[in-house]
Order: sequence, then structure tokens, then C-alpha cells
Amino acid sequence: MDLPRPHERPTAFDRMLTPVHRWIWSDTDRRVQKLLRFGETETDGGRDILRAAEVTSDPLLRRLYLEHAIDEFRHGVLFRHRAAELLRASQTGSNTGFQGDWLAPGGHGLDDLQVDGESDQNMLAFLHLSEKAAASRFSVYRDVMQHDLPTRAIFEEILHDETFHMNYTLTQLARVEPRLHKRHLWRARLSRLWKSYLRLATGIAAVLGSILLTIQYFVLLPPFAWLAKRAARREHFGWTKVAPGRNDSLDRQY
Amino acid sequence: MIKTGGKTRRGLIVFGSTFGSIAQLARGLWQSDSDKRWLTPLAVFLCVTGLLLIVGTAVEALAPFIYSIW
Amino acid sequence: MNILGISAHYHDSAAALIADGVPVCAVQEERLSRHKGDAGFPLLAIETCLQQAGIEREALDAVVFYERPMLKFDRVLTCTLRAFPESWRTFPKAMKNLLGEKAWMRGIISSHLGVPARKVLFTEHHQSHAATAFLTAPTRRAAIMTADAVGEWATFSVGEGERGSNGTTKIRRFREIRFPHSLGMLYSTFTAYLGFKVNEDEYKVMGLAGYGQPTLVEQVRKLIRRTPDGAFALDLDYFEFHTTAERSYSLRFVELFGPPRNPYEPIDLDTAEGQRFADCAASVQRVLEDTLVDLAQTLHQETGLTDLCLGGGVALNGVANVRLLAESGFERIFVPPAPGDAGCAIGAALYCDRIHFGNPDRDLPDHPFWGPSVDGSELARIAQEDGHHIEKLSENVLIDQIAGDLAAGRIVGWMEGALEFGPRALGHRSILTAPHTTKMRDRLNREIKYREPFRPFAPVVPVEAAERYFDIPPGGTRLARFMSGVFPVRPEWKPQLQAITHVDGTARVQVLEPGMAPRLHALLEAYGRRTGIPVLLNTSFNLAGEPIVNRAVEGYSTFLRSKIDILVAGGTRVTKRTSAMDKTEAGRMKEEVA
Repeated sequence: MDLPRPHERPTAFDRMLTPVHRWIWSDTDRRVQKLLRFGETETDGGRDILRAAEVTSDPLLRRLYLEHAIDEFRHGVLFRHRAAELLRASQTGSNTGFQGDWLAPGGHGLDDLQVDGESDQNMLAFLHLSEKAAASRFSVYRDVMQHDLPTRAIFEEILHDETFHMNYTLTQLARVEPRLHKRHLWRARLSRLWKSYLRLATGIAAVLGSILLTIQYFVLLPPFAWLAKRAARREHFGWTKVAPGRNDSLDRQY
Repeated sequence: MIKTGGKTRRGLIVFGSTFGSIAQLARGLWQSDSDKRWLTPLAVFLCVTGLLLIVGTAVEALAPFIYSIW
Repeated sequence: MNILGISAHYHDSAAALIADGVPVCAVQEERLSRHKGDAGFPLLAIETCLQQAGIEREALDAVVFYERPMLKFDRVLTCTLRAFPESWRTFPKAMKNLLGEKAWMRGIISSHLGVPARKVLFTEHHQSHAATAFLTAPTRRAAIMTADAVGEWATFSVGEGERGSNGTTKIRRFREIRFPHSLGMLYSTFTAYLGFKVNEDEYKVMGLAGYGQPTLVEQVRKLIRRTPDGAFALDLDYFEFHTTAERSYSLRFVELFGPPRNPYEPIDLDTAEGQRFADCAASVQRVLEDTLVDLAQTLHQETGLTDLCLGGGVALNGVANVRLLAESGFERIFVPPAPGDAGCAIGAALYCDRIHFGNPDRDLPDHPFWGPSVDGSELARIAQEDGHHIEKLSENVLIDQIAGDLAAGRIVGWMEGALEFGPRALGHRSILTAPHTTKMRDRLNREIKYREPFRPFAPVVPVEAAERYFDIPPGGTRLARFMSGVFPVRPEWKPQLQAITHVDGTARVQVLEPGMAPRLHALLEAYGRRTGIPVLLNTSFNLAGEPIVNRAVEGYSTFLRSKIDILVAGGTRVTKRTSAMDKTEAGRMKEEVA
């Protein structure tokens, strides 16, 4: 195996999670899900970077962003094609209920970044850190993929692109903000940290909310469900007359 | 550019408007042609618990703590 | 009086502004946010509307939301209860979804726009569809039929609309069919079964139907039966959309039609499996058409009217629309350019103006161009910065040159004037090419649109020449105004119109009157003078998975990423220096920068 170049070395945190990643990627179904999700995320990210190319007033950045966006779209295609290949290879008739739509929910592109309102500096700093994080994670994925060489080759190819993306974002940040580019990087790091916390907080809230609502469902709903089913049995099929005057007031929400 | 104010401020406005909406829902169910009075208590109760969701959405950072009130 | 209409939160959100009874602006959020099918609160669209009207939000007299959120909440809760205990997974999601935001539209609108809550009003979903269909149509009195997946409770409704001689307007809905019995959901279930995206790819099912035979009609009829009062009802044993958000069809459905298509596998129509999917599409299409025709015939007999206004997403089905025209008894059928949910923004605002406030009826401009205008100088500036070849040409020279480009087999990205409202590119944000050979169709599919080979491309033709090339029945020109009908290509012209002729010999033609898009009309005439056939292939100006372009810069980035040869915005014509996809240049740039 080739020795990884410095920029492809995973962070200590990612290295620590290597066994978890190895377990995730060892199973074909999970691999398909991950690849589909990556496909969506890369495509969404590509759209956001394309938007950055459309809104920047800097001609060089416009060209670079465009190139970057094209790479991201291509990565999305690579991931999706590989997922489809794996799916085809593993198809035994048992997965007739397969629904790609919910297996691959829309990614978040650039972490919910409002591209239209961002300055070039913020955009570049943010992109640089995102690419760096992705490169670190993808290098772990590549390393745990010894049993699946085609998927490994995809990560290898994408890592090569990520190197370009990491480097150009850093050099361009230094060009557009020669004095304060480090400050922008720090601000972007803090922003990523804050967003990670928000994601965690809303994630925990979502789980707590689901638990509460599920408890409500089984504790509160049964009698109402019985009433609803009884009412449904009495309901007639076919036309329902629209009562005159039902739509007279536009103030009503019911 | 429309200035929409902060998320918390918007959350408070939404929160303030919910009582009128819940009242309309309750009135609508009570007076509905298809006799849905039986659904009113559940619908109102769920809407009231839904207020927590609004607060959670408005103040993302505190969302888990808001749920922990329960 | 300024009235803002809003459609949001389910799919394809939009805003429309009516000032003194006439639309000033209507635009879908996706065209501005650049996220396809953007269902978020349409803040950018609202902003654009206000800017275009030159007013501040304080000047709004009313803001109308296109449906009643609490009635929708009632439907979701009732259906969850009916599906107890199978709905246990759906319940938390549905409640969080609704009670976290969507149920509180009065507050949401008020908080975003800073308007008092009392100014926020609501129309019913199918009332909005009906208003969009009737109030934008040039007719005094018409029957109205609306059909979609679901609004609050209604999925289908019939009624009539009338413009009185004293300026009053009436819209009366007689009756409706309620969820879960829905023609839209039936079609969407097949959309999901055939591996396409629900609420987005229904038109692919229609395209695929052309390749199949309706051999499974009897099976489809098991899913939908007619009720004694002339309505219809679904057999819910075959569906799951009413109990779960995860799957639309049940195992019984799969037993009846066989395994569903894997969305990641292409449809190979040369295999038995591919043909089965095409037959499924043809069969559900046939049943949809039969049901619609029958319901419309009854409505025609009941009202005795000659005009029918169609609204709701089902009205996008051009094949069904043409059968309605031929068999329902109505002489004219009006389908608005945006019959789906986005169009409800304009319908809700018009309903509020004409019926709630009782303002006198006004004739509306009969076109779909209600969005922001394109700026040719913006294109010239950015293309020049990037070193591409630009020309600023006078009107006549530009038309002549583009006609020459098209005749030489070049692909043209065409942007002019205001953006279309609705899903179709009707000549202001279009990719235009020569329609003569399958080679061109394949090139477009392969190099630009990256779409399934079974999907047809649409032609545009001047009204004066339409009947020469297409078999358009009386009343068909109206349907073809906004590409709402699919008509046969005349057999003698099929060899010269291969790129736009579908496998079944039809085309979803746009018949263009000079007044609607004068520049495109002039281009068609110029092209006709050069080639003898004034017909162009007209497809939406976007790449796969992206919304139609709006501003010049978006057209420009699309132009650079694809193999479009020429880009036109206003009077500016751009040709590429080299392709942005050119690997040598890209590689060099990467090396230099990295």
C-alpha cells in the first residue's frame, strides 16, 4: 500500500473511529446506504458551490468554484453508480421493497450555509475546512475498504480531487484576504463547532420529541383510534357536497 | 431585502399566534359537519404539546433542555 | 389593493402578487434559491414580488395562504388514528412536521413579513386550484374540475365559475372526493412503484406509457372502483400511503403487478421486465384518462357549459387533457401554465381580490411570464471576464444569426424577458435546437439533459403553421398554448421532426402566438425561412436535477457545464472559448493552483 500523503492522513479522532467505520463498511447493505447518502451530499454540495460560482464577483474564484462544483457532481455520480453496482450484485429478490428515496435523504450540501449571503472569504474558509474534514474521513474509508477494491478506487480518486480543493481554497483565501485569512479560518472553525453542537442539540431534541410523541401515541390515542375507526366505517364513499358558505370566510384556518 | 428579525423573535410571534389557531381548530371540530367533537380534546392537547416544538425550533441551542421539562 | 398569495411547505413553494386586480409577479422559490422543488417558506419569491411591484411589505392589504392548515392537521390526525397501530412510526414524524411549523401559518407569515396577523387569510387548497384555473382563463363562464394528490381533505372537486356583466365573480364548488380516494395518489403510487420520485416525476410515467400497451388495465381497475354516485374510491388494501410515509403501495399491490423497479437500474425496454413497467404506466394512464373523461362528461351534462377549466397537478397530464377535449363534450379546455401547487399562490391571491374583497373582474394578460427579467448586459460582463466570445447584436441581426446557428445544428441556450411561472419552459428560458433528427435528440440527452431515453422532447411552432405539422383538433390550440396537450405529428412530417416525435407518434407541442413571445416567434419564422420548417425543439433551460435558470449568470454557468453551443440573453450572444469541462484546461488549472 502507498504511504498516505500528509494531507490524506486522517485526524486522530477519525483514526480512533476506524474500527467503527470498518464495521459499517463491511456489510453490503450498509455500504450501499452510505454510498447513496454520499452521492446526495456530494451533489448537494456541488449545487451550493455552483451557487457560489454564480454569486461571486471574482472571475478567478468563479472559474475555480465551477471546476470544484463539477468535481462534486462527478463524485455524486461515482457514488451513485457504485451503489447501483453493489445493489445489482447483491440482488437476490429479497430487497423488493428497496426505496432509494428514503435510503438517501437529501444531504445538507454545505452544512446549511446560506451561499448567497456569504462573502468570498467566509466561503473559502468554510470550504477549506469542509474539504479537509472530508479528506480525513475519506482516507479512513479508503483504508478500511481493502475487501472492495472498486469502492476503494473511488475514494482514492475523490481524495485526489479533495487535495486540489483544499489547496486552492487556502491559496485563494490568502489571496483575497492576505492579512486576516487565519482569522477567517478560526472563525470558520468556531462556526463549524457551533453548528456541530446545534446538530447534536436538535438531534437529541428530535429523539426526545419522538419518544414523547410515541408514548403519547400508545397511551393517549387508543380510545380516539377506536372512535376514528368507528366513524370511518360509517363514512360513505363517493362525493361529498361542498356546503354553500363553507368558503365564505377567508379568516378561517379550519 | 426582507429583514425577518431573529429566530427567537419570530418564534415568539408564532407562539403568540398559536392560541387563536388552536381556538379555530377546536371550534371547527366542534361544529364540523362530520361530527368530530370527540377529536377536539386530543387535537387541542397535541397542539398545546406542539408549543414545545415551536420553542424548540426557535431556540435550537436549548432544544434538548426544553424537552427535558417533561 | 395589493394582495400577496403564498403556496408553501409541501412541494414547489411560490409567491404571487396581485396589484389592483392584476398579477405583477409570480415566481417559484426554487428558481431563486436554486434548490429544485424547494418547499421552504418562499421568502426570496416574496421579496422578488415586492421588488417587482416597487412596494414595501407595509403596503400589503392581505397575504393569502393557499390552504387551511388546521383542516390539514385534522386530516393528518384522523388518518393516523384510523391507521392505529400501524401508524406508530408515522405519528411522531407527522406531528413534529405539522406542529413544529406548518400548522401555524398565520404566525409564520406574520413573523416573516411583519404584517399584522389579521391580514393573513386562508383559502382552501382546491378552492385555490379552482381559482387559478378559472380566474386566469379568458372565459366568462366555465365548469371547473380540480384533481391532485391531496389538499386538506379534498382530492378532486367539480364546480363552476362565472364572471358577471357587472364585474362580479363567482366560483362555486358543487362537490368533492376526499382523501384517501385520490386520482393523484393512484398515479403517484405507480410513480413510486416504477422507481421515480413522487410529486416530481409523474410526467416520466406519462412518457413511459407511450412505450407500453394497456394490458394491465383490469388489474389497475381493481385498485380503483366507481361508486354508485359516479365518483371513485380506491381499494386501500393495495396502498400504504394513508398509513405510512415510507411506502405508497402494499404487498398486495406487488403481488398484483410484480416486483417494483429498482430506481437505480435503467429501464431497458427491450427486456420483458422493461416492457412490463411500460405496460404498467400505459395501464394506469388509460385508467386515469377513462375516469377523468367520465367525470368530465357528467359535469358537462350537469352544467351545459362549453368551457372547462382544469386545475391541480393532474392537469399537467397532457395526454389526458387531449382525451378530455375529444370526449368530454367541452369545446374548450383551459389549463393554466402552473396548474400545480405553485400556481395556487396566484389563485389564492386572485380569489381574495375578486371574491373576498369583491373587487371588479379584470382581464388578465394571457401569458406565463410573471418572473424576474433577464439582463443581457450581466451576461456580457461575466462572459467577457472569462474571455469568451461575446457579441451585442441588434434584434434583427441576432434573430438571423441564431436562426443560422440552429440551422447549422447548434444547441442554443435562449433567455429573454421575464421568467415563466410554472413547470414548463415556454420560450423565455429554453434550450432550442433543430428538431429534425434522432441524432439531435440523442445528443441532447447524452450531453446536456442526461435523461432517460424514453422521455420525449417538445416542439414549439408558430400558430400560423401549427396545423400543417400537427394534427390539432378544434380547441386544441388553446391547450397547446402552455404545452398542456399532446397531439399527433402529421405522418408526412414525422421524418423531418424525429427529435420531437414520441414513440407513439405524438408531441407535446407549444403553439406560439406572436403576442405571447414575439422574439421567439420571429426566431421561428427566421428558422422556417432558412429550413422550410418553422418548428424548433424547445426544452427547459436546466440540467438534470436543477431548477430552470432564472438570471443570466445561472444560464451562463449551465452553458459552461454543458455542451450548449450558444448562449443568448437579451441582445447578447456568447460562444465558448473552450468548454469548462475541457479536461486539459481543468487539469492545468488544478496543477497551477494546487
